[in-house]
Amino acid sequence: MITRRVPARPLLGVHPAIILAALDLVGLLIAGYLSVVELGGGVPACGPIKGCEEVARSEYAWIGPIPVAVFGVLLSAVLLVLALAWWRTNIYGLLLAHYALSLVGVIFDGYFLYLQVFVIGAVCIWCLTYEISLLLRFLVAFVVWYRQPRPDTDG
Amino acid sequence: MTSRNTSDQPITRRERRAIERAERAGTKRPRPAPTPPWRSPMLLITLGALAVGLAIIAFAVLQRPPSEPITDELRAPIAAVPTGLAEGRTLGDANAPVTVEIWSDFQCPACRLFAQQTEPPIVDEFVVPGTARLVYHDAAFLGQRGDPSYDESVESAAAARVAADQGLFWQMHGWLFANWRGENEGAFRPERLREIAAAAGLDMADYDAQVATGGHQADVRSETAQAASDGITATPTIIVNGTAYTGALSYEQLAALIEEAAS
Repeated sequence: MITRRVPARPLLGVHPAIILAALDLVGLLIAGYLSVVELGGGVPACGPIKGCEEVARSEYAWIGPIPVAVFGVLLSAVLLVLALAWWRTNIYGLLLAHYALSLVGVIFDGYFLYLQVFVIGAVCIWCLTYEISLLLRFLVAFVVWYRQPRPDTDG
Repeated sequence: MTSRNTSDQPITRRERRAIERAERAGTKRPRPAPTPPWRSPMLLITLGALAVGLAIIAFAVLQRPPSEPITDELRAPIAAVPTGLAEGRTLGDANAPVTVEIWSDFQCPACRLFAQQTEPPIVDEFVVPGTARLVYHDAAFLGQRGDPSYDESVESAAAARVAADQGLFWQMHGWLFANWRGENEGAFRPERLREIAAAAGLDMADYDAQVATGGHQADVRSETAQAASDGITATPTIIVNGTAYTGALSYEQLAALIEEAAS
């Protein structure tokens, strides 16, 4: 079933994969910036908005020797590939994979947002923007799936 | 007259088709049995993603090093302070061509990393030979998120200023970072801070008297406010001959900056 090709119903007048890919690209750029800065030993620039430094300097910004942002880069890159592949092939399983991976990311980002608000006591605007983009990607994937004809039905 | 649709009577093609249509209408096409909700692919995918997400969170939690217990047993600094080079919170020749200003917080883990891994070889390679001098400044922000009645960042920095008055700032600096145990977790509570000061060799009667006045705490808060107004919002911030760099610079990074500034 998941390898079946199902033409996508347009969302906002375009193939929904384009919307997903655009959001994935936003996430990739944000996570990429944070990764480069943190791997270089610095902290992200927040301008007048405070909080980035405290979050980046906290022990929660790293998982072992790897900044959390690097995992964000990997997740966004895979999601982007899935979205583009779905756009070109309309293979139903690629949409489901995008939905599932973005849900995994949303769950982790929920935990990371909890850490920022209740443990670290500061919110990084870059992280928050990434988290919003990931939530949007999950919601868009869900809505698209909901509107999409199922490959195992007549629709 | 008998009906024409009895079995022994031939029927026309039109009648046979009508009968077939009626039979088709009377019998529904077999449809696939509906998938039970618990076997819905979307539900399974969602549950799988939830499980993976929770597993990643568990992995992240387990990867965090356990907090070191705060005990009364103190650790000695990992590097000795060169003699004859310290004056107050400055270390090195006053005429050195490169000044490295360090805006730091004794509770900051990155500051500890910088103090323990970057500073010692910088001192050996650039401060002792007279190429650079280090100047310590307080950017004691982290305690603001802790107990409002006792700011561990301010108190530890004030203790270091008492040490500076006694000519022992860099010794105290080493002892404080050696006994760092996280942010606002009691590593620099009054009695432990006193033990650290005693271990660093401070005159404790003078220490007790100066800490009690609160003068140094006010100075720390004042310098921290100045740091904020100067745009220093992260620790450590390293300023090399007037150019600021944020983060715990590695030895290689800072050495390159000092060499460039000295040339």
